[in-house]
Amino acid sequence: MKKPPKKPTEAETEQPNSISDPKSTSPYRGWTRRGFLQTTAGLSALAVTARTSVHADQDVSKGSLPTRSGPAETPLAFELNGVAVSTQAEPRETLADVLLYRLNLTGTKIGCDRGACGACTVLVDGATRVSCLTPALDIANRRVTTVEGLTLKDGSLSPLQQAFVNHDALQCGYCTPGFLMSATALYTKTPAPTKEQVVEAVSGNLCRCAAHSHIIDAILSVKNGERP
Amino acid sequence: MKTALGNLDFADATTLSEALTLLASEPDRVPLAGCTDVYVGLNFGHIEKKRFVNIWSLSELRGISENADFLRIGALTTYTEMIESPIIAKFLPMMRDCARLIGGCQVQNRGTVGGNIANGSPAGDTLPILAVAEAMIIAQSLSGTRKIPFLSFYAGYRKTVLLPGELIVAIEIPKPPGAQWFRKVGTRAANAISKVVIAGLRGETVRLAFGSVGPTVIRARRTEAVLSSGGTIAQARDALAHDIHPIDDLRSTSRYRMQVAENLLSAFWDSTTPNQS
Repeated sequence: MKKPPKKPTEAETEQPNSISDPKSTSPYRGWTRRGFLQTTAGLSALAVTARTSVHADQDVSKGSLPTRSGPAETPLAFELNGVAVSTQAEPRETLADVLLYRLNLTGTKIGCDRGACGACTVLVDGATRVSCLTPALDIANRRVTTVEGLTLKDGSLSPLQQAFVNHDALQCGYCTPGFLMSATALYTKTPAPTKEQVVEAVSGNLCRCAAHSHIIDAILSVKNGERP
Repeated sequence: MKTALGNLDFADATTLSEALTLLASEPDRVPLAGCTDVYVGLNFGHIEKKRFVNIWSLSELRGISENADFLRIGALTTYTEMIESPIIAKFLPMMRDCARLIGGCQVQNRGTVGGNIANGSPAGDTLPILAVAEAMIIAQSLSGTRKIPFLSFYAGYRKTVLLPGELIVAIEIPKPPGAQWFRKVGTRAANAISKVVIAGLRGETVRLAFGSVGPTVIRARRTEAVLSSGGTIAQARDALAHDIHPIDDLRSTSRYRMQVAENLLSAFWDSTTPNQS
């Protein structure tokens, strides 16, 4: 298995177009928060990137279960947004940790880290899960869908995502990926949900900007999969 | 990344015999299934244990069945499975009402009834139901299976009478006689930990159990006796003050809980009273 070349971070590719003035310098202003965090993670971040590979030709559903023990890392293979993924994880890592820190998929958000806010909701084999309370090793050979997997093949937003935009269903947007995953799971089971069913389906998702009414409207507007 | 979670030892059982064999030789391992309680403790450093056995994939511990007298619910049955079960809807609707209010769908897809019992939180929402239904816990170890009456399962705050090496594999619930009633009161209607939770059964006699108002789930025996012998609801509310002794904690106050518990008692009585007109 060939290791893919290390992708440059945002900070490395970005040309700072900011200026130096009494309050700060141009290079300092050029850092993005994420690029800064990635680069300062230093050797461990490089190691993570090198260890992680994403390839599309492996049938994970027929793979044998890995021997799972700790505290050292063990190999972890699963299907992520339709693509087979092999990475490593320690027993202490949650699915949210692996998505964010090993696979660099930042759409999944950690809000409360205790299963109470729903921001980290993803689908595992089609059912919603709080990824902050899901041990990473527990998803071996399973099918995981994150908000990144909702976008249509041509790169456009899914009807649900577009409905959130159209209905102004967010302010800060931190809860949005979780709501989208809960609503996606609802539509898989219930193609024409009632308002009551929508409310129950997202009862595990909290929006601190209190956009709930717009969120419910947005979800209801995609009845029968029609593009709003 | 989190530091509180270092050095976990995570064994993955694929059969019940594997799990029990491991627990027999390493009884300090904590069984782990939906992780909705254990990982909260791990993420926040409240759990010092580092050795676990993951039993989530033991399909033999899943499922709901019935015979003439009992329901049997596998320990790993999730809240979602209970919500969708026609057997639960027919014979134990209060469990369905309860399961719909535990966490959100994300937690209902993972949380298990066995985990709710083993975790032993005083706020465990299914526990008052198991208390009024007088369930039996089926515990299994390499040396055999035993049935433990749910009402004697807790020895104190988060303490169970499970022996080292024993695993909860199922619960047996006698089909409850009479009208069933469940309510929980928390900060919001769903997805919140209970401040007070009640299950009631009204048949020839009355059974009542409360959660979040003591170190373990409590059967309100004095209150039951008043109502079962034809006493008034006012007398029952007085009796309740001798049955439960709620405390102040981060979620609520003793005074609020006592008032809510009394109100829930009245609501139970009103809504299970056959319409006289």
